[in-house]
Amino acid sequence: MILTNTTNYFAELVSYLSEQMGLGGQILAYVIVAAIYLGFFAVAGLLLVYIERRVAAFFQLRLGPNRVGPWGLLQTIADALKLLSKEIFGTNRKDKLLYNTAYYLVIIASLVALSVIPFSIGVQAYDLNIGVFFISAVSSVGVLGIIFGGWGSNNKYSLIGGMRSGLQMISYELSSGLAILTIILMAGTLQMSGIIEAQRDGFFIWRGHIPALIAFFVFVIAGTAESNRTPFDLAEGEAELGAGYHSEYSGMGFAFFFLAEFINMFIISAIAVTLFFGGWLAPFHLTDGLAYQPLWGAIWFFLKVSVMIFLLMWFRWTFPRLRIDQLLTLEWKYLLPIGLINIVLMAILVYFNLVF
Amino acid sequence: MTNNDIITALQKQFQDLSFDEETSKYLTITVLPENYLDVMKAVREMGFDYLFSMTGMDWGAELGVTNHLENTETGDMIVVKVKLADRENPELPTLENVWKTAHLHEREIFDLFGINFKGHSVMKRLLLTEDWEGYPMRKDWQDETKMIIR
Amino acid sequence: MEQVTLNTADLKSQEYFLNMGPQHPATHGVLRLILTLDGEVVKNIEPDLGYIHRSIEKQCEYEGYKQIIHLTDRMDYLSAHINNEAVALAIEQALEIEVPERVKVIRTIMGELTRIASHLLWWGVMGMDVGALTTFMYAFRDREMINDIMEETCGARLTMSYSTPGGVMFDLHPNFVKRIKEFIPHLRSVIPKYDELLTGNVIFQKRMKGVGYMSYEDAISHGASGPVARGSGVSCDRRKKGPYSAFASQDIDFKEIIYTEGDNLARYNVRMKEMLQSLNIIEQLIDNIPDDGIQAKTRALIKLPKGEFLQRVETARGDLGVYIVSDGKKNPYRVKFRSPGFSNLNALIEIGKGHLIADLVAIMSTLDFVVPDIDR
Repeated sequence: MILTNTTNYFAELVSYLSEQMGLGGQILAYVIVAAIYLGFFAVAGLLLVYIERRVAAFFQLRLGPNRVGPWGLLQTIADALKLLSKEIFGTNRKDKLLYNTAYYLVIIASLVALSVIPFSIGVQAYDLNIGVFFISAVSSVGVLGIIFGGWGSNNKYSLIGGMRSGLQMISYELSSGLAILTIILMAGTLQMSGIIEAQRDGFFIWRGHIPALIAFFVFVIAGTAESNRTPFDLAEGEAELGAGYHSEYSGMGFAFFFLAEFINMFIISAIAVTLFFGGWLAPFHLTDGLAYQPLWGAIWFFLKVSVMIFLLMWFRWTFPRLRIDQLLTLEWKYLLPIGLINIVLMAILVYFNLVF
Repeated sequence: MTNNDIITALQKQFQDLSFDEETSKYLTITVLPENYLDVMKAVREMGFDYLFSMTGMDWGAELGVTNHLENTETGDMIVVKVKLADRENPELPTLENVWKTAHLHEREIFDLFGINFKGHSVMKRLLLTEDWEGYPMRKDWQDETKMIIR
Repeated sequence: MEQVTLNTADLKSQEYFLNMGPQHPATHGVLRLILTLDGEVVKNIEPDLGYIHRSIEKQCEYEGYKQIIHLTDRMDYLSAHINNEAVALAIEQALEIEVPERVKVIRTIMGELTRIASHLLWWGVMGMDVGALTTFMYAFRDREMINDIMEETCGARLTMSYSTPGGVMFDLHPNFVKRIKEFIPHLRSVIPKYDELLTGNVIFQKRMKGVGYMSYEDAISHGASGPVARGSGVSCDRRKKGPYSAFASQDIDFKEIIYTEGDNLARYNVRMKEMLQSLNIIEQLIDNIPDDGIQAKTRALIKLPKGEFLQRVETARGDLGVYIVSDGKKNPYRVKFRSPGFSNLNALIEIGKGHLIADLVAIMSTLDFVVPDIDR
């Protein structure tokens, strides 16, 4: 099912500019799209850091940042400026190539994954027909960056952090993949916009009832693990490894890792929302007849993503950290079998048309 | 087990022990370095199974160790002292195999008093740096820059 | 094409060293552990101390007896008052002074407050060590109330130096009783919340249960004391076994918390329950503090009679022994502080072996080290 009736605003922009100015216009259009995404990346990253700190403060009986700018909104910008102006300070005996490519890999992986996420009707850089598959493929490139950083730093703490992260990501990729597959059985397409379109009459979490619910829980657990957040933040577990794989990074190198972590959290939430909660679709067709549909779509999308992100932050500030063997036990002995059984269950339900 | 019982039991096994009930409220046994390990083992057999502390001592002429032992059943305590006349190469057998807590205590005493515990698994400096010279807790330790004596 | 064969006999795993500390978040200070690791499994632990060694014992030999008390604050700074009390009691024991009943009660109340404050801080940091960051803030909020009480009466929040030989420095602040009566129900109401946040958490339980096992015999052999030994079933509370201050002079009803499992969870539970027992003790004493002065008569220049004096007290970390050898002069001939942390560190060397790094951190947390206490 390839959708042709909706307009993609980015594709429109590219075709318009290339018609007007030829090849130069096409390149200009790509640059503009890239700039928009980079801008979104930076703003969303900074905003998420701010939100994380406020949410943390909320859980910890504190106020959080509230001095720089209104409600402390400019605090993270001040922090970013501080990081920018910091001296890049690394170890002498690092592996230069790996050390310096690590954070680019991490950040490129999350940036590319961001490009196929539909923010609203037609607001999507590239509507790949294998969108979901593409995201899970690209986001596993990010782990390479972390392993590179861990190895290239020539620091044992970093190395342990990098190896832990590798173990964790490779393991949990399976479960999140299975959870995504379960939903794809219902949607019948890998295309992000197609998946959303298929939920017009009811979100998958409701239509797929039991198996979809199980898939959702598995996906949230696996997603938390993939974005290296508590209770799965073993890669940087600060009480054990100092800062784990990014111990030896300073200034913007560190900031890139930090930003990528938050964007990954956003991506995980966005995928969960797209797969289970209908993406930018309004619940119960609340705003369907109104004007400015793309705007309403964006509002619903970000509203749902915010709830998911709040859930992930809630995890972070209440749960203790798992141990590496418990982490692997959880994946290989519980989540993976559950996911496999779940996918069979879903297949049966879809075959006998037992989903709503 | 009263103090007298301990004294008679120990005197049966060992000679050259001196007993003292005046200096502190506990029975104090002073042993020779040769008997030290055996006396400590014997005392442990009597129920004094908790090595409360090992205190390095510098009595001026002699170096030594004061051990406080407790009976965890009854709460009784005794003190076992050992004195070494040799200040240049003081040596004692290690208690590490009798009480595990002796491991760190003996390293500390070695570090600060220079008493060498034979048979100890890691006889290295614990608190001070490896290249430190001298033993600062001894009474004859002098350091013009770091010590202010009023 | 040439066939490449891999001879598996040539492959071998290699052990490596990891320097944990002196600057490491989990060592809570400047403790340095030299770990031998095989992968993430700890094969050997060698502590390297002395990063905050101030040779307090040597300094004591050149100070008068009244000055010594102020040095002891800086050993186990989380139970500063109990350290002070230990030295004061040792001096009083030597001089055979009978201190007023009011002093005994005040010292005991202060000691128990210190113990609660110490355990609260431990709980917060314990949570952080296993990755639950919120506990820290909760614990510090409630610890703050104790610090305020201390500040009002002693003028200091952490290192109080409140006890003197024969008494205490100042009388209680008029607000003291009122504040304590506010604090007791408050802490009683928050401890169940602590349990909800951390103790009952399934991840936490899995991290703690069965990890860092120490048997009864080992606990004795290692010289472990305090909550560490009581988690292994050793009855060693000095407040019961060698009562001092108000524990000796008054009839206080409290339980010695003993768990026999010997693992991290047992040590954790001992401390959590001890806080409630300390509240009980304070509650029994706070209503009738006797009014017979805060200072026994002592000379301006204290000289101890010739002899050896040992005083053991129960600090938040365990059994602190103050051993004073006096030759009758105004300075002690030798002072030894047998600190509980030093012996408990000895236990870490053995029980930490064979665990993962993450577990080692958790074990260190339940052993509750204060590094200045170990180094002195």
